[in-house]
Amino acid sequence: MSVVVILLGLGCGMLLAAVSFGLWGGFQGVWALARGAHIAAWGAAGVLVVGALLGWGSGLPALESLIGVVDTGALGGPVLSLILMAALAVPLKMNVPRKVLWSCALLYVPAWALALTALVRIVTPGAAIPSRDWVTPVRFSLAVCGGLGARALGQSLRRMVTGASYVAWPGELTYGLTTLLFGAVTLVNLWQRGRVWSSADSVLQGGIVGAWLAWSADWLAPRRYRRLVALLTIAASLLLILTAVKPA
Amino acid sequence: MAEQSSDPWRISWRLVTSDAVLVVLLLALAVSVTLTAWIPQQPSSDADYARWLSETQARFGQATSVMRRLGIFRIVSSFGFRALLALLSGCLFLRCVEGVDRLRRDKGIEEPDGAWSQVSDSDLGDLLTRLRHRRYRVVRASSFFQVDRWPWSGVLPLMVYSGALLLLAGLLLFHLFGWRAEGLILQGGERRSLPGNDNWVTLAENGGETRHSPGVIAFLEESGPGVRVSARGPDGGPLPLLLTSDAEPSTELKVALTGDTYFAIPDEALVVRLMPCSEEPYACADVQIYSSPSGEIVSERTTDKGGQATFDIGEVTLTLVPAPYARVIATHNPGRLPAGLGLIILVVGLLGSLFWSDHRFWLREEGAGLEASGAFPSWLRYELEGL
Repeated sequence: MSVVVILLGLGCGMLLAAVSFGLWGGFQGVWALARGAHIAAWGAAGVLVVGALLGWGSGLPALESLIGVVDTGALGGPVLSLILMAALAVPLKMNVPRKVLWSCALLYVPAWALALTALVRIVTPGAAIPSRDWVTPVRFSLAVCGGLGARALGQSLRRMVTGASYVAWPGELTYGLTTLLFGAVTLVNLWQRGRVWSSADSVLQGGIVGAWLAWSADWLAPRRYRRLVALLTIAASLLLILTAVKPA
Repeated sequence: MAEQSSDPWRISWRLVTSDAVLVVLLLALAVSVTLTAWIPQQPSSDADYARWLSETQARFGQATSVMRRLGIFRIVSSFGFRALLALLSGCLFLRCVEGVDRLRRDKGIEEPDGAWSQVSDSDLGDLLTRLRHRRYRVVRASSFFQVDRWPWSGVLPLMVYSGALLLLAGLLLFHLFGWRAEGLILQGGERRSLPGNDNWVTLAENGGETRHSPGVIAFLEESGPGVRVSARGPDGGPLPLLLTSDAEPSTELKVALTGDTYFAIPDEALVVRLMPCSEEPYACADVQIYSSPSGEIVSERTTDKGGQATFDIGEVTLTLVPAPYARVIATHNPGRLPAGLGLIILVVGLLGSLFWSDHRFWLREEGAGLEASGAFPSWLRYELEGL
């Protein structure tokens, strides 16, 4: 079995443990369990990062020696993006008030869902997009944006459910990177093809522009409507994630 | 006061320049644009239309005709989408006007708009020095200090609005005065005329580059092998060649080897099959020559690199000369410069606004400590608590 698939399974299991410990510790009021959940999530992030680097690296011609280690046939294009997004979606700091300690589990749900989806895609029979066609700077950047967006999604989930304040920087960083990606792709299009919109790449470009517009709306939304803004962030994050895994 | 607040112009202005309206417009555009990523849009070139239609009907079945009537396959060119862009332009323009006025108004000092609250026991002078190092503007009033990021807090949003307006202007210029020609197949030195006065595009001899008239942008989508074919009969005269049964006979054919290609030499009852060895522009080609109607292969050979070959079939001489093809998109976009400039200004303005917010707060010394009013940054509060 592929090394990456093993790492993915391990990461998925550790994230499931993080979600379970977080809920259990939260409802029982045991701080140690919540800390344990965070340590499990850290471990999952490390494992998934290694898996993502192996997977993406095997798609680069310069790293062909890795192909013998990584079974690229099992890893379709979208799986690579899902693994990277899951790795980036794990929050590295936990600032959760004791009275809503259980809500820390919500921070790990997006990462776990992404890792689980990647596992399901691997085992589900179907045509896989070769990783060498997927490993491009645009796809990698989209996956990074999607991963940070998934982290913001976790924060917003917690805010939706508990109404608690949240960390703003994942959302701001996601928006900043998505803006850079949108600007770069559009400028390259303008330079090469003379148009802002390219019909040849309309699927990818439509997804990037749509996600950027949604994040722009999220950034502008009045912050005093906490739950509405959280809902908007969740929608924008989901759109970015779907764009990152959608084949052209 | 009551009269001012019920002024319909003021209410309308506040509504149109409100964040809520801009958010709704952006979301509507986001949904429309995202749909183009999930629902295959109708291609502009006739060559791709038939394939697109059959794929779409296979995917959506009976819902295809309904979706066509609703314009779901032509979202970007629909009236609704263009109306959204027009509304967005109007909204951005009014926000631009308001932004200029706000930039002017924010230059001065204003009274704190909230209650004062204790924040730290730190020295005010030290804190103000640190804030100045972080590029904050510190303005002294009679009994307090006003801290903000003027003028950048006003300039950056203006850059966003004006950049977006320039980008939209570029799109409009292309829509009104620009054109695009897709699916142009060019071979070996052939010069193709384009819309507009004296516009043309041609393929360089190496088959890997294009040459074009000024103001045209030519993008090479794909290139591949191709040949120029001619045939001579027993008397040495050129023989007519037919690429398809309903085509006009021609003494020279230009064939782009995008796959298996056939042509006929009707006067000699010969059919020729060409198969490219690879997709490289100067790839060789496998050639089979059949007699018609028996289908017997009379000659079979692989050409030299590039497709160069000469076949002698009885008294007929068939000559193949390399002529790689290129599939090109040619565009004329008078809005290219404003769109590019607008995009750069928009991105710089957005990134700057992300990191340099337009929050304003006030500081004063009260007793042994510091008090603050307004949007006191949380990162500063954490820093002061950590000291």
